[in-house]
Amino acid sequence: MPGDGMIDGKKCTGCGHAYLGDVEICSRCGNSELHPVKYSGKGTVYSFTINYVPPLHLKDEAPYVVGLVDLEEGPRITVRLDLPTSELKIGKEVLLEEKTSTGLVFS
Amino acid sequence: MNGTVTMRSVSIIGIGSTRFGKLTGRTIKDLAVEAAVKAIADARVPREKIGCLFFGNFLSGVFTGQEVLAPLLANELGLRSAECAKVEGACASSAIGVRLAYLMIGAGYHDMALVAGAEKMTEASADTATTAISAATDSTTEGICGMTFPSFWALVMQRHMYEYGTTREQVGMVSVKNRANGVFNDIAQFRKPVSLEEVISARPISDPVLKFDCCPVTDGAAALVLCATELAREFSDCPIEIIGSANALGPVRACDFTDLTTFPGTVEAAGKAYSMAGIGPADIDVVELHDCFTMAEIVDSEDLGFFPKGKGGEALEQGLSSMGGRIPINPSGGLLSKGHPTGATGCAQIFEIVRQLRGVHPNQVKNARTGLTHNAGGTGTVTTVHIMRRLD
Repeated sequence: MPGDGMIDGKKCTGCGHAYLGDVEICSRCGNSELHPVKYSGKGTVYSFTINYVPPLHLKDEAPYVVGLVDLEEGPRITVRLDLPTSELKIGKEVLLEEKTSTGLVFS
Repeated sequence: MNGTVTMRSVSIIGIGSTRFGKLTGRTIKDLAVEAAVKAIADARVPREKIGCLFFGNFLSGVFTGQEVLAPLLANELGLRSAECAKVEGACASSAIGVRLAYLMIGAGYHDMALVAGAEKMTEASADTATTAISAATDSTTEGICGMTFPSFWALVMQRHMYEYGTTREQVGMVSVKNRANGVFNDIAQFRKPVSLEEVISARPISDPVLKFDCCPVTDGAAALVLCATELAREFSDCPIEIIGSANALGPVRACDFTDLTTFPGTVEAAGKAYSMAGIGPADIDVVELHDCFTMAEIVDSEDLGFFPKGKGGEALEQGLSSMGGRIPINPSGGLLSKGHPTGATGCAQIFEIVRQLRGVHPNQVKNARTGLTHNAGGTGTVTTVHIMRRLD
């Protein structure tokens, strides 16, 4: 169910900055020791847009919503938002809904 | 090395450009040749004096199937003694070429350089163009999610409106102003004005970015001849000296901006260029900045120091960046009117500023003596600022 999904990431052992996915080096402090972490999939919307002119690989999906989500644990990630237009709002709390081959979907 | 190393002064002595637009039947090679021949003729220099050639281009392989552009152009022009290279930094490609030529001449390695930029985009389908241009995002993370360039600027716009109360109308006024300027530009793609009503009721591309918030795809080329200032007077009655030149890094991904309403690459490049020139934003008479989208002009006008952060929309509404305003921005019509042949834009912006500083621009800013160009690649991930002044 939504919110149960876990997202893989890495956290810098030096400065503590949190990243999404597999990162080899901390771009903030240059440290190459990062340990794996799991993010809960809870976050808030930082910004969003409804895209009507998609790239080829998402041709059949348009219009769709691209959003920037600030995860509870720190990282900001780029996702698609599965929300009705009336609920699209900066600051809206969202949960991970699905991991797809074209990225994460939150709602 | 902080930009304070002793360098020879460098000036621009020749400029050339094709018309911008949908140039059916033209190839990227013949567009580049046309611009370069015009620039060399304008500079009145013998070809054998040109020691190096940098060619700015973003996507010629995808759009035209043609690569090796720099040696291709050098051969066409018969520049037998020029070393050459293509430079790619997305939409900032040819301004980076200008900076490299500036460094080569400044360091004394060559006396004279040709910089060209070209792109041939209009023969590709809209799908191919959208997908190809999206290659300047981080394609494996954000591109895959469906983020396009209009989407990126929509995210910025949404956030700027949220944080500073910038209005939809203010953002639209960028398009109205630049299209009004473009009417006078003999080489612009669009020479028809638009009304605010048309801009804000246009079809959505990536909401809230609508059709007239986006620059078009364009064919075109521009070229410049740079020369050591100590030799420039031999060839030119009105050399335009480069007094500031900087190139800086910004994030590639939207999610890596700490604050999506300010562009670190623009702030840093502008800071370095102002410091080199020993002047500030208040000393600039005319600006050509990277208005690939309406929102970009508002953010850039703040990041370049012309208006306080968050006040760009208000300043525009008050006419401060219009012709006759405190600091005219994009009197050429900008990318929104002139068009944006990505690889050519950096050279094309400098072409416009040189016309202003020579006092021969079709949309002339009165008494312009010092000008600035701002050319941003991708999401501002590579950003170049040049400051130029009239030498007399």
